Amino acid sequence: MKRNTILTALVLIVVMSGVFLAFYLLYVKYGFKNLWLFYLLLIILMISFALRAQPKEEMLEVEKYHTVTIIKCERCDYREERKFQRGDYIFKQVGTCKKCFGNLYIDDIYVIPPRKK
Amino acid sequence: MQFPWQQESWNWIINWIWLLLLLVYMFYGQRLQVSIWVRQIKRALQKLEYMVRKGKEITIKAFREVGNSDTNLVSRINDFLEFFMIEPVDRDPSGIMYKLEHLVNVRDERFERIVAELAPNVSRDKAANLENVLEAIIALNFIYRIVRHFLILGEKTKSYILILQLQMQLPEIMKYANAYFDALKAFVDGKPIGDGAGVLSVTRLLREYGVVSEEEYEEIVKDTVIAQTEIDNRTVIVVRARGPGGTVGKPGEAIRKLFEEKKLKINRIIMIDAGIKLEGEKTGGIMEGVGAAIGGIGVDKYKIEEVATKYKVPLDAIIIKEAIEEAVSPMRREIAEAARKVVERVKRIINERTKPGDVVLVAGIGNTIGIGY
Repeated sequence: MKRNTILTALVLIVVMSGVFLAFYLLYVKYGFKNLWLFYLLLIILMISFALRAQPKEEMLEVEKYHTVTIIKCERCDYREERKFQRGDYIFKQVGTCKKCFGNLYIDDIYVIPPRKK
Repeated sequence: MQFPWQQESWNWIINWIWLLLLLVYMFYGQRLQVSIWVRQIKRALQKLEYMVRKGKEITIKAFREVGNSDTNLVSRINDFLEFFMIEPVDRDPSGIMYKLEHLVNVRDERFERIVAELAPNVSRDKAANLENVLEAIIALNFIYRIVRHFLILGEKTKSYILILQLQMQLPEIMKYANAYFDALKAFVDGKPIGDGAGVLSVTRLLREYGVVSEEEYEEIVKDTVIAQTEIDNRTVIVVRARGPGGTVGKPGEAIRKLFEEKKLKINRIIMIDAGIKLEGEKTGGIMEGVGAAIGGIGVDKYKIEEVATKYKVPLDAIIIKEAIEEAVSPMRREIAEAARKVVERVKRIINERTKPGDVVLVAGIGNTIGIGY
């Protein structure tokens, strides 16, 4: 669950508890004669529903991706992972292996999606 | 002790306020709801506008980077942003596929020409990527124009239904817009996209059997290459679009040519493509079926089905599942991994469903951006 949702839920719970407590006190002390508090509760509910209908912030964010390039050696088990550089493409030859002097090539390019907060 | 709101007068006032609120909500409730939706749409439109503006900047920068210093570059790109293709009349469907193919060819030529004019000194691969950049910004601009159109129309006509429909489709629309925006950046950088999964699979298959260089491929039709290898005593011919520039080639025409002009006796066709997953399914899942696994406007599919039916060749289809927005945005890890698994699947199909000495055609469908040989 998102932090904002938890916060909103907590605020709502606190407000509702307060209202119900007030109702209870009124009932105990004055026999629940003042119906206006009931109306107040309804208004709070309406406001909370209206707030829930607000556009979600995440809809307006532009996601940032992290692209990685995987380099492998054709002969040995050498493997390197680095940030994607412009000009990289899968199966491109990118030099020689330091371990066995075999050809190094780009084996994969993929994105790691951003972590959802 | 008595609080002020416990007095009779207070109750009376509160009751009236409540009654007033009820009346306001009764007569203006819908309008209030519409204004909330309009606000949501306007915020999304702001984001779309930002994406188009930023996308244009990226496009202009991409052309500037390849040496275009023309002062008219911005206006040329702006003019091209509203490029369209009118589909042929479908009331008389006879021969519609050839009309469609003609129009697609004309459209492709226009894209090639504009890139050649704006970036005359670039390689074929880079030019293909720039064509893709233009396509992405046109798509993004189209989404923006459509959303703006329905918002203004809804406000002008005070149509509750128009606004409601737009608001309800907003998450989906924004998903597409985000995907095209990501695709735009991917095309500028030359990053592989999810749609290239089929091409990646067949190239991996060929590399496993020793076909590792561009020289071993033959360009059979424009932007489409073939290569041949032996797998378990079967001749395997692979068809894919040429890369690493962003092209989808003409696999339909290539396959038709192999049957009709090269007169090859092909015993089985295996097609691999990225396909749309259903909600709740995992990205990178693999499914198998029969038929021509190819999307697009339908011309290639038509040609493949025609020759497969004419020569009674079974068609196998392998689909790598991905969401539509994943198909046009940079390739995800799950899709890259699925491409490896597909190689094993193809080998199994070849082994189980063909005999030694057979000729098997394996077609890797998709955009080749960022995928070499």
